[in-house]
Amino acid sequence: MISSYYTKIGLEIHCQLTGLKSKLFCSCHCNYREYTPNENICPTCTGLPGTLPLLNQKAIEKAAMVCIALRCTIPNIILFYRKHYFYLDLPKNFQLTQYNAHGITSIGVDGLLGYGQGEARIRRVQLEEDPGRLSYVTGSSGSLIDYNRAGVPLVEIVTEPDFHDPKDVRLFLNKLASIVEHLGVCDTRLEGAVRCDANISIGDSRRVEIKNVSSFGDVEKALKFEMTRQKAMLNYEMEIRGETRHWDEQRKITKQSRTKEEEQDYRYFYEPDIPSIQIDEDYLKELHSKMPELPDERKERFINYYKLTEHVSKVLIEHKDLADYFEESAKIYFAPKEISNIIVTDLMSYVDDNSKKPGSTIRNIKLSPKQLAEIVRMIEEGIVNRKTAKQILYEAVVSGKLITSTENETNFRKIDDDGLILRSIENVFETESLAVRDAKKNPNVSNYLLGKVMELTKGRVDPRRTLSLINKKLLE
Amino acid sequence: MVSKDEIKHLGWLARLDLSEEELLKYESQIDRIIRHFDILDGLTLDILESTYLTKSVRNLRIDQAKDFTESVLPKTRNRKNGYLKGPKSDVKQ
Amino acid sequence: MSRLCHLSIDEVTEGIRNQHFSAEEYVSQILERIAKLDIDIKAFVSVNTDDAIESARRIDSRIRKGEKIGYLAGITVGIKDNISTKGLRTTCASRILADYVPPYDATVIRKLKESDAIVIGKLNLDEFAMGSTTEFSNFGPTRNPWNLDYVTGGSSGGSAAAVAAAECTASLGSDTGGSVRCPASFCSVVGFKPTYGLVSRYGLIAYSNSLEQIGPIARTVSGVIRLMNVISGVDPYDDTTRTVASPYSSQSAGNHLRIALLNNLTVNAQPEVSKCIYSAMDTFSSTGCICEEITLDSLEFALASYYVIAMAEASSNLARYDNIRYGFNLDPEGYEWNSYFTKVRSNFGEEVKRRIIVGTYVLSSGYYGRYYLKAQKVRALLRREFKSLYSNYDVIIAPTMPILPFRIGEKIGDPVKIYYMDIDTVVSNLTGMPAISIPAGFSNGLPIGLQIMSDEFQEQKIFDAALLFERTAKIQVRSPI
Repeated sequence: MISSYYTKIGLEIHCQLTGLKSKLFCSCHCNYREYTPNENICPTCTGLPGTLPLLNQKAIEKAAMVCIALRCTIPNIILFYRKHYFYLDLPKNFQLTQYNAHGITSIGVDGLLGYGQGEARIRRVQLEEDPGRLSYVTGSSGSLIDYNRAGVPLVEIVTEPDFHDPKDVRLFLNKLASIVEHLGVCDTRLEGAVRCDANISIGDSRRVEIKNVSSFGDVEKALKFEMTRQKAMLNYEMEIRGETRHWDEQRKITKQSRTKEEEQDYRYFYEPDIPSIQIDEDYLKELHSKMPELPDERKERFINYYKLTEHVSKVLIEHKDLADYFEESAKIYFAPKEISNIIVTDLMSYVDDNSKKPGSTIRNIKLSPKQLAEIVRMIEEGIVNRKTAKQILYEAVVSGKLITSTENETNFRKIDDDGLILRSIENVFETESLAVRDAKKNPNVSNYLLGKVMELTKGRVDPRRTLSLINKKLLE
Repeated sequence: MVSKDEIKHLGWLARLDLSEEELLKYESQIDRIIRHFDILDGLTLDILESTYLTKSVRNLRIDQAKDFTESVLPKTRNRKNGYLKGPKSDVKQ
Repeated sequence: MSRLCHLSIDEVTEGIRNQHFSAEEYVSQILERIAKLDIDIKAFVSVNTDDAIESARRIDSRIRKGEKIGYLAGITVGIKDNISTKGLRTTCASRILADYVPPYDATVIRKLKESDAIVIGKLNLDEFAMGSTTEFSNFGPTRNPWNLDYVTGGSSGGSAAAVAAAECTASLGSDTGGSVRCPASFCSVVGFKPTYGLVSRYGLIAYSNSLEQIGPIARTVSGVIRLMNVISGVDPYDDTTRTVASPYSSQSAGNHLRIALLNNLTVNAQPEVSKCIYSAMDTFSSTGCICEEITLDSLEFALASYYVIAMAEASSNLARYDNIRYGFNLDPEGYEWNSYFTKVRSNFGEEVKRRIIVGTYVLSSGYYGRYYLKAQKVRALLRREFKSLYSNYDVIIAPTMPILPFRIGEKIGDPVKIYYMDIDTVVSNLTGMPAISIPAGFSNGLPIGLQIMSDEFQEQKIFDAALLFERTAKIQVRSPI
């Protein structure tokens, strides 16, 4: 029985520079998501004959900031290379990227990132362009190509195989996500903004590459699956082939790659249309002074200045907009402990419910930081009790309206009668059949139904009582 | 000696489907050309690669979005709902 | 009635500006001449008849109203068919781009239009600018106006022939290893390759990015100067362009230049060519210039370096031609993608395929250091050596071509023979330094060109030397056709 095998995991992460306005080598829009196919293109990103790449200054700036945050060395001269392969989504049939085989010329090398209980070495950071998107219509004998994404800037971060446990990979990726958000480099929750390939080897077995993991969340799952698969094979004394496997997002498994990934000769050579780029010491010094507050620094500040606990601070800095929401609210009414507690315990559950929608954040909740500050003020000044405050909170989260204390007293005649509450619940169940169905599988969705009942009764029911009645009804 | 097989492989790398006739013709010609390059073997140079063109990061294109207002790809060309139609790819998305 | 057709750029702009004749009259005569002569010469791939007349009329109307007109108003410029012209088919003389109509103008075209020059048509070339005789064109070769059975040189054969035959006032070509200077020499016109980075390549359909430049061709040195004053300059669309001081003058003296003759290149030339170049050196001496012969050993590596780099970059630049976004008519429905790509790319001509294969070879992982990297080092070496030569000399002269023009079909069977034609011209592309070819004489009615080279951004020295030679030697440049 094989219990402990020395596992080595390395990562290759791609982040789109969603913080830029234009693409890496042309002035088309960097955010391609809102456009109909082939509307966000120009002669350069579609590789029309005679076009030339024009490197985006801010891309270097943002990539360099990532390197600084990851403690990489940034060379004084960087170059771009052509990586040749043919494919339908690659307009020039080569990708413009960076390469270090003939001297160190990519934007950063030899970095280090700590993630709580460990640290991982960063082998290199490089800039490159995204290809277009290929779709395949089942049944048809062709493919569909959209170049809106072609040329969007990517920063590729490659680690050494310093991970030994998928859990550590998750912690690392969370940290990295927070860093790139705080730098304004990448909004990791946008669809397609991050991709991660992982390579894993157990003991002396050959390395397996897992490709096509399109969210940080799935990386841990993919690695866990792959480790289980490999350990099972080793148990049966089967040899593990060195290969590339694809992550099937739907079925949550890794499968053998269907295309023959033959040894590719990319015939790299330096891109003659882009001169060597000089990054002088003064520029780097300026960049250091311009760096936004990084998550770790921010966490320390939350602990020292706002006197928050380590745990609460850690949760807040996980996403930049969460930490921003907190600080905005605390600036209006300085009650950091109360505000942060409400955010972490109450509001977070609302964010999770909606997390199926890509890009959902605390900003999508209708309760504004100002309103939260107002509620907390009412609590602290004794205008409302905590229970009423929670009711007001739910009401506001759902409707975006804050019912003031005077209205509170006159309108907030509570409904205590279970029968009446049940009637409202039944009403909601009738109109929200889809949510009811989901709630039966996912307990978090009961909060959504609760919100609907609150809406219907203008917040007059007791939330705790109502929720337990809803859950009881769901079991029927 | 650049062999016929090597040329066939090079053809594949460049997506050039060479006929038997072409392979025969190219076999001698291409080897001759490469042998002319061998004159470079005699040189030992301590110079760094010639990348004399250089630009400061401060002089690069400013990050601004601009629409290309003309039609980049002809509207009539192989289209379906705005997508460009292409041949079959190997991988189902 | 083509009395206006042989006028130089200066004479045309002056004549139109002072209303000695109208732009429309001039353009009509040019178009007539093209219609009459081009069946034999075959310099043009397409003629821009309607637009040209339209533009001419607009110029005339502005002159009548007393409005300002551009520096090149009314002159007809032929454009090599590898330079993108918006709305005008641009084929690179290849089947692969048979139906390609660019949606944008190259920067040089935009600049020509802004100075009111008229794009009269697109000119023939070796397919994708790969060749030295224009025989590799999908449309067939252009014929030399001095003798229709002879080659024009290449790859900008159409550009040089059209100017020599007065089918246009001037033309633009592209020069990667001599492709402007070679046909200029064979057709007895003036052809110029600027310093690398002086003229924008945005819109030039790439063959070898680190070597090529767009260059003007005209019947006089002063014509070339006028064109350079319009097309040169830093372009925000091309990051390889660099700042420089313009404009160039046709007036400076040019006497007392220190001139060196590179005798490596005369030693390997045909005796008639060699004799002509030495005679040119005498002409310079007679005006008071100091002339010396020099030898540069490292030149022997130039041709190999050139072809390694050019073919490597070509194999990369031509990868994009898969007919998905542009090209010609072939429905992709039903094909598997690799088969589609290979079927499309079988439409490249023989020479292009050859260069792609060799280029792919030199870039492959086993050979990169041995060939490509080595060739780049040779470039650096040559640059260093030439820079040190230019601290002692103002310009260096040599033959443009080692041989006289020859019959169409004579060398086409042996690609290596054709590569050797570039032996005098490639060094300027490798070093990125400018060079001109001007008419220097004839042998049995066949033209010989003199090449004058200088350090980078020292174009004015070349122009001074060229103007001096032009007015001293007085070579006849009116073709018999």
